[in-house]
Amino acid sequence: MKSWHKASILFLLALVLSAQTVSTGDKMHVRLRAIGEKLKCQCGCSYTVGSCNMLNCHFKSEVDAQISADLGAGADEASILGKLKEKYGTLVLAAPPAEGFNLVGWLMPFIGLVVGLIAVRYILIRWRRPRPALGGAPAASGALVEKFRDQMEKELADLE
Amino acid sequence: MENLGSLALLFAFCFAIYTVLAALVGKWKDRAYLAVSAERAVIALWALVTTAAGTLVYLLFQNDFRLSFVAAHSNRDLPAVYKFAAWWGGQEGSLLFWLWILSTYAVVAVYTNRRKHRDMMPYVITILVTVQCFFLILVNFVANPFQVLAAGGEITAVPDGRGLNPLLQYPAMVIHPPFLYLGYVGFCVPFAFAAASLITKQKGEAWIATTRIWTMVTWLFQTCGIMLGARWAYAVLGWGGYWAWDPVENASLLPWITATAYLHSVMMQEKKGMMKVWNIVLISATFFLCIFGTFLTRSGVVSSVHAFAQSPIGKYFVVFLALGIAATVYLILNRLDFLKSENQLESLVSRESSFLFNNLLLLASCFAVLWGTLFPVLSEAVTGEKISVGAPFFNKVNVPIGLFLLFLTGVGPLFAWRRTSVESLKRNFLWPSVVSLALGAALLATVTRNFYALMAFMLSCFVGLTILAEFYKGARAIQAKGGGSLVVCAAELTHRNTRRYGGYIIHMGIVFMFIGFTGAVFTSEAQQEMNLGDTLKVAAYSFRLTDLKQTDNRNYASSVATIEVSNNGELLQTMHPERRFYHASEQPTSEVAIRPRLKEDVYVVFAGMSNEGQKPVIQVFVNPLVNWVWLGTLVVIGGTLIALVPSKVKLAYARTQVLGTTKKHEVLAQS
Repeated sequence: MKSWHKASILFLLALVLSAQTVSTGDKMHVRLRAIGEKLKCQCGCSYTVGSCNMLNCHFKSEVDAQISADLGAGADEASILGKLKEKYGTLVLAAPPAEGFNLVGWLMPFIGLVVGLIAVRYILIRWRRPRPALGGAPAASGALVEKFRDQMEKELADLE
Repeated sequence: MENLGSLALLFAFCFAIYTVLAALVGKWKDRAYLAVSAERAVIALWALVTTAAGTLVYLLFQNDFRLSFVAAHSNRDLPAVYKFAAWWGGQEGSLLFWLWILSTYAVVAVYTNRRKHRDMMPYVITILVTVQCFFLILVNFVANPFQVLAAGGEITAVPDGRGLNPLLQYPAMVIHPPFLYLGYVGFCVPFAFAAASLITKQKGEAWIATTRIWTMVTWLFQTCGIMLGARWAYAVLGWGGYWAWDPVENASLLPWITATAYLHSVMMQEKKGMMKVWNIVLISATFFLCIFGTFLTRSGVVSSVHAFAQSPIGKYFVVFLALGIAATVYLILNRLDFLKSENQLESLVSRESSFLFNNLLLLASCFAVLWGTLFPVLSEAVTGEKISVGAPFFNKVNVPIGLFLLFLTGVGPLFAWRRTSVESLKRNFLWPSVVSLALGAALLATVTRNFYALMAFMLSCFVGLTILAEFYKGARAIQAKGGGSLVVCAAELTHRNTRRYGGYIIHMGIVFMFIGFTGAVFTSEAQQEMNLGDTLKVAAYSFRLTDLKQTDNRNYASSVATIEVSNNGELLQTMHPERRFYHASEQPTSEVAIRPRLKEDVYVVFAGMSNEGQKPVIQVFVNPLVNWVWLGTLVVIGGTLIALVPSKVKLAYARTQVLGTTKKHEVLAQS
């Protein structure tokens, strides 16, 4: 192995091993904000509870107080979100839970992507299928084809 | 005066019907005078719509509060520039604005192409004027901007209007809607040419060559419009962000995504004669998504802070969309024989396949945004339960797709057409890969463990380096031949092939934007009720409230806070966030104070006065890297403008396909 390869690997290893947790400041506030980002504010602002900046927003104040109390009591995020969903309905969640019909909502973009991949595969196979040469035209010699190919490649590379 | 506007719109509607009939009959019966008459009618149509638009603007400036539209969207003390902007500040006026831009575009499109495409022009006129006809139906019979207020059977006026929505009284908001509309409406023209090319069974790519500049300019307008909207949201709405995945924001993004896919895939048709059906589908999808976005903003189907008031125009859009899509699908299916691919793929590792994957990912992203925007409506229809689909959904689905796209942005342009050798892959990607991996490891060790943030930074580094390497290699080659500095040689290189290097610059802009998007992961914020002299700490900064002033003018009353921002005891800047109360609309707004730096923005909001102690409530965000989003936008604009400049070296090669040779060719090739 070349010396610069070794040096690069050692450098990367040293960096990874020296990884340290970054201080995130007030953890409680961060968790409050993180949970707030998963809830849709109902004051009409169309933002999440975490992002709502409506002064004295009744809904945000109420929900923030409840989340703070629950976090203080040691509740985890899932149970807090579950409690809020029970109280305000599914509408309060900024994204629908992945259950029942809502599962379709979550899966469909990925199903679309997979269908697209299958379509791309089909197109690639069709595009790769060799076509018959023009009737009556004699086959070109290998060297000549290569010569034209090289010329074409150069011209195409200049284009885009 | 309002009668003049109303009459102009009614005449315009009659002229639109005449134009369509004259264009079609002229073509079918081969009556040249009718075809010419249709072309001239397009100008008459523009003149009539301009008269109506001018009348509305005049009435806004005249404070004619007999008009329902003027009373609802303007007031006496509104500054002149916002009186003008009130034209598109409400439903009826904005529909007229849409129509006016389309009629202007139609005149330009018809008069720059009428001699070049005699066959296609009657159909181009028919399609453009049919769309105008639809909007004329709306402004004449459904949402007329010249409706007057009446009480007891008498025309009446209110003493003063309600004024323009205060949130719209911001400089970027004056130009944001025009840019967005220029983008939205502009895609009617390439669509009209594409459809006309299908109708007339054109085999070549005439419509693409004709609309290339048009499509790029329109895409540029749309990009500017979307980013001005994001900038407006950032600087005015005061929530610290610029994109909330609101349905109306999404509606503007959808056609932009398909248009971006089209701008890429169209190269396959230009260079290789491939993806012909796909390009027609993409330009049609872009056009219909523009109409769909207009429908979404105005129909009340989805709730949004950006939407216009609910109105009955939704059903008209549904009918127009259904008929338009059905006709386009029929046309495409009927003309499949004319849209066959002229070439074949030689290797999976080639520019051709990278374009396919690029299109797949863009379309997947478009579908995900469309699906997420409409899913609440679908879910409520199926389950009866109201749900929200917001930022968490869109981020989860779109971030991975976006990162793949970023990867392809770096990889795709460096793949050769037809096939790419392993050697070439190694040569182009080894060093960018090593450096970006090293960066990733360094960031993991010192800054973040967020997977997506790490991937975004690494891929940005990778793509940025591959682009810089392309410029460097090209510039060095020119330098080796003719000398000169690298910068001059890079400029020369760009001038020689503006499309290619302009495209690279656009990609660099996208890289900058991704860096900016990623910064959102590291945002810090705090909010506090403050007395004079109080200090608030956020990230490395301290914020001290030193003064609070009240001012008043005819348009609004305002409270301005003076806040000293310091870092480790060193005073950095004095900021003045403001809280305004607009008299006419009786609405409060926050004027955000921003200290912009490439590293991070300090963003201070005067959120209002607290309920209890009448203390100012100050909210502070520290937004890392957000300016890279705006910088990236400027780079994208610059790259697009460069790509629009004609290349110094004309590179127009015929598409070649080696199928066989004759003896004559053999001799020529050997000589």
